[in-house]
Amino acid sequence: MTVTGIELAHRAEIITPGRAAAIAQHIYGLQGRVEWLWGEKDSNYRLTLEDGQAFLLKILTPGEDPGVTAMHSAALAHVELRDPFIPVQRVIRTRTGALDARIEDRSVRLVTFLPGVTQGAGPVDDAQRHAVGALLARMQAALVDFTHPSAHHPLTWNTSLSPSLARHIPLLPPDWREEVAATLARFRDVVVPRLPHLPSQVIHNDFNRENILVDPTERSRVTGIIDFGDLCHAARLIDVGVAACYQQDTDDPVHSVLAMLEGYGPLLPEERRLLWPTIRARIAMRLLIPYWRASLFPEQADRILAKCPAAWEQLRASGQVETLP
Amino acid sequence: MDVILKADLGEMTAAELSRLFASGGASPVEAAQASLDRIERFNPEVNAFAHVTPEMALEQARASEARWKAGAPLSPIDGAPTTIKELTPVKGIPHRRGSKLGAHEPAAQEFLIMERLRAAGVTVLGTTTSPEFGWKGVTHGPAFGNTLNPWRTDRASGGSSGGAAVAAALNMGVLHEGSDGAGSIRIPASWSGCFGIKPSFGWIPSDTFTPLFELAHRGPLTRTVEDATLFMAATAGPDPRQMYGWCPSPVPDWTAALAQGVKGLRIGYSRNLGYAEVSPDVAAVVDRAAARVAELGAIVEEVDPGFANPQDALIALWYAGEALSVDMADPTPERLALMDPGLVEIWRKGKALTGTEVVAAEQVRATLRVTMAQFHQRYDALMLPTMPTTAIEAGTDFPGGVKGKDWSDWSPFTYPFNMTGQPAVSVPCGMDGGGLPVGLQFVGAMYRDDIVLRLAAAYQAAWPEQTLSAPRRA
Repeated sequence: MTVTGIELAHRAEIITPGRAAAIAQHIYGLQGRVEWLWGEKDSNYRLTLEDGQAFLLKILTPGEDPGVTAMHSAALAHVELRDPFIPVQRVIRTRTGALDARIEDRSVRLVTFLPGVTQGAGPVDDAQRHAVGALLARMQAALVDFTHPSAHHPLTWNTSLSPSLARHIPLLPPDWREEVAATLARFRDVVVPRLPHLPSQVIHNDFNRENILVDPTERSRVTGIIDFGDLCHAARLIDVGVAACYQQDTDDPVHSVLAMLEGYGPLLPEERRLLWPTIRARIAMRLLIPYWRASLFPEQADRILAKCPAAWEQLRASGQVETLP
Repeated sequence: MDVILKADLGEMTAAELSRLFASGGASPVEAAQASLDRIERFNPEVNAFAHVTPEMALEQARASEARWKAGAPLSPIDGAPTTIKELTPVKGIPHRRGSKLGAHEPAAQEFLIMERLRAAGVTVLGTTTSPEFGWKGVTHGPAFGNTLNPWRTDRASGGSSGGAAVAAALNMGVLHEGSDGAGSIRIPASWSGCFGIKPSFGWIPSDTFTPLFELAHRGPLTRTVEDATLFMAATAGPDPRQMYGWCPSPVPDWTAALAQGVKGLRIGYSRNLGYAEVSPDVAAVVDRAAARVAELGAIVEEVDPGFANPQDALIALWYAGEALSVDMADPTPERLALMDPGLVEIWRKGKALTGTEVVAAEQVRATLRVTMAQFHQRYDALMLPTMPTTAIEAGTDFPGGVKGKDWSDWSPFTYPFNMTGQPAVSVPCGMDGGGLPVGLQFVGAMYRDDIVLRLAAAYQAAWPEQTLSAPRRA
């Protein structure tokens, strides 16, 4: 079995804004005001130049393999080249023209900010789900010929590997365990054997509501897709499952997923048959990974587990259905 | 003082050079030599020139030097190092038109625009690259290879006046003649980071046959708006030999207009003409530019002019014209095999068009003219991105190499104003994340080139963009 989780188990040293400003100056020749921004794994800063232009300076966690960092940068540049209309962040090149740089044991990348507010910050409707589905298809088309050796590295958030998370089931509240175990088992027995036979490519793998930016005045217009941090090579189905998981509405789990699929376009019959257990496996991951991380960083448990009750409700609601009509 | 000035000759504009020629601070021969030196240094990396003619250039520069010494320059651009796009014949240089089928012997005849540039006393350095017959918005083809973006040599220069734009960006000469049938001045100006104007159709008369009729405009690409204005002043004006359009008389004093500023001008700002996609980084840079134009005192309102994408009509007119161009080049199977396959494809499509289809396209164009004329009842100018993206990969006809309907798919903001004949400029307004330039387009009412020149000049004065001191390798 593949062991995952290494990249999420790191506790990175804090880099002061002053040091981040010095890094920006040294690597990019850019001078500006630096403010710290929250990030799950990385140290993120807003770099504002004198003329008001702002960039996102990412000083990545030492836990991230430099090859993986390079892959994320290359994928951003690849999407820009293949389909410049997909709203992804643009990578600002270093003074030597590279897409990223190394400072001691950490990689550094500078990107543009995208306009908009997160999809999660407001109500989600079908028009928005449709737009998200359409953009997911477009992103897959842009990435279809992208290759990178690091794309095959084991990744905790790769749903294909979700059965390996069964070891964390004992960390869950007792009355959740049976349903989560059954969800993983179904994915392992029904979906996993078919994955090698489905269309596969490098996928974004993290179309969640916090990574999708929308126009606050025209909420069905997607203005940004951020965070290529979970990029990996996997079945296209996995990517659709992730996006559907986050577009799903607990009150009407089937209809909300269909609204997204309408924008996405046709799935292969087998992909469609396997989508539901794939969505549910992803929901199970959204319980298992936080509980496991909370056990590693107990002082942050409240924050890490904040969304788990809602995910549990979603898992239960989606359990009323076997597969998509 | 002189030493410092001369060291910088290669970085100067036409206007700056002429001031030095007048004061005796530098000579046209030194200026020509400085340009030729830059061509020698930079051109191998970007391939902007089809032919460079140092002996002829220096000979013309010596004549100009004598005129300045005698206090009798022919014009404010006497001795300005100038390049000519390969689609305009220059005496002494083979007129290949970007094609392997083009002439191999030196041209003996010149067009009216050259007659005027000669009369202004410019120094011709050579000819710049074009795709075959100027058929597409990128500059690579069978005769002269691939013209690369000077900001990042893995990207396209844009076209079809790609050589002229790259020469302008790198100041390999100061005045660069180009032509624009569907965007061919503004596309490379935007992507390669220089100024370009497609003047109102008619100001610079064509005395020679073109199957593109009134789509095909000639005009300058330069680093500064001021230099382009000097080029226009030298080349505009009526002539009984004018075959298409009409040139009003007298020609206005555009240089004087530049000083008028933009306070109170009414600008309609359209993010995408209501029909096209714009990449996020271009949208952000152009939004910032629009706010700056308002800061300069113009009255900026967001509005779309309200026409549907006229691409299909453009394609009909374009393909019909290009089909005739290819027909005139004696397209035997052996000769077709030497041509750009993309041009051969539109030749076939163009030949299949019916007269009815072409007439219907002309009607779309007539309606478009009226829509824009009505728009200009309310607005002095339309402001919009020149291009929806920054430069695409070098050597491909489509972004990402994914074939679409036509190359014009990725230039939706340029061709409408070839169809109407209106003046349209592209002025650099910022860079994307990858260090590639973004262009801001202003479109004026027919024959109101003064308005778009004023806007671009005011923008450039307030927000000058960086210039390149050498090509940047990817």
